[in-house]
Amino acid sequence: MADAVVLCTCCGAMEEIFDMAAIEERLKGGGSAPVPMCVVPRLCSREGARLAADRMRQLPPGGLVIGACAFSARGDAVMGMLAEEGVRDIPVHWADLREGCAFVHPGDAKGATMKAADILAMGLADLGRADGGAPVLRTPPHRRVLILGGGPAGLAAARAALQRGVDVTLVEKRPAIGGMLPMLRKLFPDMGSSSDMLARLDLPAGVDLRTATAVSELRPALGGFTVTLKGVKGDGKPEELSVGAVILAMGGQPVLPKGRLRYGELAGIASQMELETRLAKAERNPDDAASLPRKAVFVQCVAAREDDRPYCSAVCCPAALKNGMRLLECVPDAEVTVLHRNVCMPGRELESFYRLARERGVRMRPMDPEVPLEILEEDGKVSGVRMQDASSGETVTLPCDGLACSTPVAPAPDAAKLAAMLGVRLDDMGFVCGEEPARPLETPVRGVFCCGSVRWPCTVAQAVEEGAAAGLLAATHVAEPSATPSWRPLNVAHATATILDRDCSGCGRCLAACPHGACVPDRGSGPRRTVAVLADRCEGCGGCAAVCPTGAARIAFRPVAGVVEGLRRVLEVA
Amino acid sequence: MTGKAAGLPVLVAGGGVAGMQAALHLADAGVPVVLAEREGFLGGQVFRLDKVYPTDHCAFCPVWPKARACRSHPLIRLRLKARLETVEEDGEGTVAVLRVAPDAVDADRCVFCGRCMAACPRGAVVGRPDDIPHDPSTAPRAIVLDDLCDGCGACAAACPASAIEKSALGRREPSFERIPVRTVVHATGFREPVPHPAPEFGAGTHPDILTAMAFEKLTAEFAKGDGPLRCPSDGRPAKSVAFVQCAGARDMRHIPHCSAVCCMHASKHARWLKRRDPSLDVAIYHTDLRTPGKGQEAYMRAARAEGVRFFHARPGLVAPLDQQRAKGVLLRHEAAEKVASTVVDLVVLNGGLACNPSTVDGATPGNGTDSGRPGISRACGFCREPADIARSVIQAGAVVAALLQELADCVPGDAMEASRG
Repeated sequence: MADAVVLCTCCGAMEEIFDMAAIEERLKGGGSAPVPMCVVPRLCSREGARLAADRMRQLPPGGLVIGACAFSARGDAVMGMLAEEGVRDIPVHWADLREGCAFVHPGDAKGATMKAADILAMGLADLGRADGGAPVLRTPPHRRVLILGGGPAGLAAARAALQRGVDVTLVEKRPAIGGMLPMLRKLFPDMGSSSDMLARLDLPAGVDLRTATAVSELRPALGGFTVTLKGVKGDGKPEELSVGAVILAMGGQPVLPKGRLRYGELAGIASQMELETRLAKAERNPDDAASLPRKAVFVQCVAAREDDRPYCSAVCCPAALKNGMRLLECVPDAEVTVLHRNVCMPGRELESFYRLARERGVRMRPMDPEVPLEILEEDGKVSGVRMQDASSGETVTLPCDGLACSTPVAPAPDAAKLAAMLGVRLDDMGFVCGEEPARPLETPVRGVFCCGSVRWPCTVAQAVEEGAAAGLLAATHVAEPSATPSWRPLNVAHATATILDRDCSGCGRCLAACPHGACVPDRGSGPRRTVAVLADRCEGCGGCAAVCPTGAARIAFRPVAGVVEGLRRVLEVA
Repeated sequence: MTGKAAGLPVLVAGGGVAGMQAALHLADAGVPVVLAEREGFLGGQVFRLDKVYPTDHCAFCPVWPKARACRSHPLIRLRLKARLETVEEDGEGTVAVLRVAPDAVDADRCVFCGRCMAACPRGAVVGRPDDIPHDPSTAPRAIVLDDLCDGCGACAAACPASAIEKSALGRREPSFERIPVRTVVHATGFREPVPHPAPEFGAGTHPDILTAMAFEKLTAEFAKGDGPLRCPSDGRPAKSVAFVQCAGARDMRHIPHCSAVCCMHASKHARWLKRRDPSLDVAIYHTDLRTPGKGQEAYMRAARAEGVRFFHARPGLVAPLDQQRAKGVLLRHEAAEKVASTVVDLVVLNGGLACNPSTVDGATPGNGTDSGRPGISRACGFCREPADIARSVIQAGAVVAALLQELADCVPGDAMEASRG
């Protein structure tokens, strides 16, 4: 093997600092054959790349050390142009001589020159070890997206992914799709009907829909995940599918106000969701309006924003204001008072909805969370609420014949189980975590996405938005890459973990430590239960190596051997 | 839509986080994109942030990969210093007209060696604009500041890569570029209106009354150096800082909407200040405290636990004291139906972020999914609905999903084929 060095002068900037002849001399390392060196004025230009390629063609085949700017500056462009000029798929070591050397030693030309030569020598040593490591093979993902949950988020995700031309399987554990939609008759913000929304979200032909189906097993595998499906009642033959991506869209569930504000004790006290159902009935049949309250009090933040559940559920203020307006429409002489800690209607759309509700006669009263509400009763039925108005400090009694408690949304009951199968992290409240803030729908496990209320409580409109966005992301993940994967230098290539079978005790600590779901129990044939690393899932973070008690898990950052060899060579020369 | 239009690009107006995400989604689906950004760099307002809530990580790291991906995606053509002037229908189709500011530096040739900066006698060539905290890789090229440049050409002479066009230096006249497009996606973001919409808060009357973005710059970790937080007016250490929420916003006289991001923005600043100096008196005067997003309520509770004081009170007046007699800024607010006054060293005005206007087809983005004529233009990010980073990213995906569906409906199988081809 005859390895060569290409040195970019960056339009002369490097020559101002480095002594090119001294570098060449030092690379010879005490009299051995000179290393073929090609100095080009601007490697990231077409002319520069051509010059380097022409020189490479005159040399016997071998690897290449490129001494230039930091790879993040122009590396991709250079690699692309060299490939177009016919130099490709040979081992390349990228030596950062500009940001990493010339720019940081402006006043020390001699020292910088020596350092540059050493960096190049270490690169050559690395090339010498290039065949020592196995290449990381990335298995193309299966072209199928699995969506768990058939509510608004899941339906929108299915539509978006299918539109991108990938196969879609949607699994819903209930007998029908729609999630929470059938329970909500009118939707925020335009009071549009939920059946219209459901019709709009109805699955297009081509989606493989499985209702009344549960996931019994879901595990990472090469090319994505293997899922085992069976009927919710445990009936039917289990079926195994291979998918390239998973979208978690299981939604949430409303918390019941049990043990709060005498819910379940007195008549006339309901959860906001229960009131919603009664409103829907009255809207369909005006005779049912007689059973609706005349003087209604809605209490916000029940069982929310407190130590046990320290979050704002985002949907309760819009829901309460919506139901307040619906109640006023069904019973025009009714009175609706909303007791709130903060009216959480951020943005433009929600703020104008809030204004509309006030115009329509929904009354707002701030309460002090430190002062508990007192529920007044008459004959086993709620008759009023005594509260302290937080703005005036006065204690007031609000007579009422109906009280609705706005409770938060909690994650779907099966969220924890499914997330654990995938190795996806949940937050303290049990919601699925994306990579906030810039990749909110992408979990750290590659190929697993989340949307809707399983991620965080959201309105139907937001769930549809998140679903569509997650559908696109998942489709992009499993679709064939639009550009061919680029040819990368050895030392900027992807590092992955390996677990040496010989040393692995099968303790499984790495399974818990891996945030990317790359460590999986090895189902191999050996006598002991060990752990394997899925190379196309591993991000090379080293979490497994940090917790491994036997040293079996380690990061196979390929050039480690090369780095050692490089150091040896440089220190010897010095 | 005709078959001819099918190969045309979609124009994305705005290269902030929403615009970049929309461009990436479209390009990943095989649709060519022209991404027009009025500044000389991608990233938008996010790159003016030092850290972002709720993680308190630097803003740069999560967003930079998107900028990089936009720059290297084969289907995305980047037009910097270009803003969407208008969209025309010329009978054959839709034409987007870009107003391109004179840009003397050829981004593809610039190697960012910095010799132009050293050569310029007027300091008109910079590596990054003054208000961008992050380092050169944000804008890996030189930027010529038009208002300082006198066109002497010293930079062009010094440039070893022939990346600077002398004849373009000091040229104030913009050029107009007409691009036939399929449709336009608006992602023009927000701005802090100047002058401040609500004069009663005293913005601009005194250096110690700052807007949120100005305060971001003042306290950014990269800039603060050592020592205490100092008042911009005279450099004395600040002992008390007050954040005035909804300043000019949720106010029918000024900006009716809630800007959605400011409660968290103030909590973030307050927590930094407390970390920097626990003895600092930090107070947030808010109307409704809105923290509905993931992790936001917990973040706000942590701020409270760290000693940040929250007042449910809407200030009505912020005014500098008579500087001859006493230093400080007077804050008058109403709480429990009583008027109270406080004097503090620094006041930060939060809220009142205005959606950047779009001149396109007379439409104001922000009315639902479509802005203006359905199918002609769409909007995502803050210009559609006040949104933080996460919401902007989600909205971009939703808008592109709807758009791809629509493009496919217009030419059956077209987008699908494009995504495969």
